[in-house]
Amino acid sequence: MEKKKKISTRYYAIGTWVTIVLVWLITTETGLISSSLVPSPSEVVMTFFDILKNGYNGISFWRHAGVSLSRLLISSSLALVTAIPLGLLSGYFVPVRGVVDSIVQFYRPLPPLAYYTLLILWLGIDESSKLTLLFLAAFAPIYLACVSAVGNINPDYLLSAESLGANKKDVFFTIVLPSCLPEIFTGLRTAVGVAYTTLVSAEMIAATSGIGWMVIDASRYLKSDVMFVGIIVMGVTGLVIDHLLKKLEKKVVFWKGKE
Amino acid sequence: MTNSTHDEMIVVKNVNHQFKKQAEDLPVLKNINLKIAKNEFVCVIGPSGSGKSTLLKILAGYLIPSSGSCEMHGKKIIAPDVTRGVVFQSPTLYPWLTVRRNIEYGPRIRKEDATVIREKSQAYIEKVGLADFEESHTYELSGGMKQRVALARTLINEPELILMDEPFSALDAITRMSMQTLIRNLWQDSQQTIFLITHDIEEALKLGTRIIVMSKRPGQIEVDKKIDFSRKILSDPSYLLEEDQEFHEHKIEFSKLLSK
Ligand SMILES: Nc1ncnc2c1ncn2[C@@H]1O[C@H](COP(=O)(O)OP(=O)(O)OP(=O)(O)O)[C@@H](O)[C@H]1O
Ligand SMILES: [Mg+2]
Repeated sequence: MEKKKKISTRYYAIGTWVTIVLVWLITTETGLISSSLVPSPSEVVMTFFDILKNGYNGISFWRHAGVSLSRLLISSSLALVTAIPLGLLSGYFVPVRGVVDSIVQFYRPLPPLAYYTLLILWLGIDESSKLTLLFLAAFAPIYLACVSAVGNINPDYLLSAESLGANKKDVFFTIVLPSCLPEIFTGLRTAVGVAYTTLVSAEMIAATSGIGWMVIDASRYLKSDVMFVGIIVMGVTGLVIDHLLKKLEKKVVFWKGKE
Repeated sequence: MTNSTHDEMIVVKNVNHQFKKQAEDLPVLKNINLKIAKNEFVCVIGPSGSGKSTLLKILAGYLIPSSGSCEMHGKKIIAPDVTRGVVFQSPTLYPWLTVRRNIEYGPRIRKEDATVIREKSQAYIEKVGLADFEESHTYELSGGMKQRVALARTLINEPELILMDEPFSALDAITRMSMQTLIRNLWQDSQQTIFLITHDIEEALKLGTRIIVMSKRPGQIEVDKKIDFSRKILSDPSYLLEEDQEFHEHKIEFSKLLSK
């Protein structure tokens, strides 16, 4: 049943993309749409290989991608190591929750670009303002997942552990932490997703490299083919990152949904 | 140490308990007095809401009674600890650990020697009939197997008292019978002391050396009676419980009490 459903959605997905590419191919190759607005698939592929070979604006493609990915990786890791302890603490101690929650709830609905301008003002235009922005974006989902995970722990897990001889510290590391892992992973995936979209916006405002910057720079010179390449690369990278996280999740929290 | 404290492992004195319910108090246990000696197998029955689970939680150290005292070997019970093992109605196995790791949880927490842990866990895995499943994940097990793991996980700590809250009620009839036999044998082999809540009168008669009947809320001890069917079953292989007239009389007597 489950398997069948998976296969059929995959067919629909493939069908959708084949159609999109076909329509794209036909409308551009026949000249129905001007190539300065929508470049043809062949142009995009050629531009992609050109950028791969020669880079863009004197910077290699891999450097652009590497800069973006390392920003993502550093900020997400920072968020992970701070949001997990703070989130778990908040789940445990009401005062901590009162403090941290109110701050997180305040900034979370703000559009990141609104406070990015402030961060630039305070931290300058270089890496630190970008990393802080992405860190803030990634922090909230992981933090909130931890708070909710603590609230959802089966109380009998805690009691049974104590009756098996566990002290508070044992309970925290051997029961609370693993119990929360499934929700933490969901939070992490959301966090990386949010950080990724924020990253692209951040690079669009103030940067001299990165895939997001490449797209914005290309738009200034109406290089629609480069914009297409950038957008497709971003989209595919996003999918690949989430796929990898999902795989990791399956490995680490193998019991998720099976209890 | 005097003789009496040696005999009485658990002493519950004048315990009352009420839960806060909105503004009012909900009295749940009323004037409970109870002594449990080593190697007793106490079975508790009573209507739903009569405070059986509450009493068990007090014995476990999960709850402090509103008034009265609850002592083990003369020491007040104020928190759960390893000397009182608890088996829950639905087994609270840790899904991130394998069967073996679940069973080894207590010894590992205490950082016992690795080879000793391994030997012990193997012994208990075999005792509860889970050989070949030691590396399985807990979500791959049936309900009865899960309850066996929960039992082994508690037994490996060699608790002085085992508290069980309707441990077999979620199991099918055949699995329940085999679990009853298992627990009876374990009780006999290791001279365990057991406090078991059940809503099944037959189960209580088959297993216990003593039956406690709780009254409707607020729960009081209505009957506290010694029985010996489990010893008969253990000592005489040709003994047939179903043919024992006394068993049926007891069954009827307790059924009347409960349906009052
Ligand atoms: N934590 C709690 N807070 C408030 N009321 C509670 C709490 N736990 C139990 N009660 C109430 O106390 C009464 C006794 O509950 P308890 O679980 O001890 O009964 P029981 O004899 O085990 O019943 P059952 O046979 O249904 O398991 C019930 O009316 C229940 O609603
Ligand atoms: Mg109960």
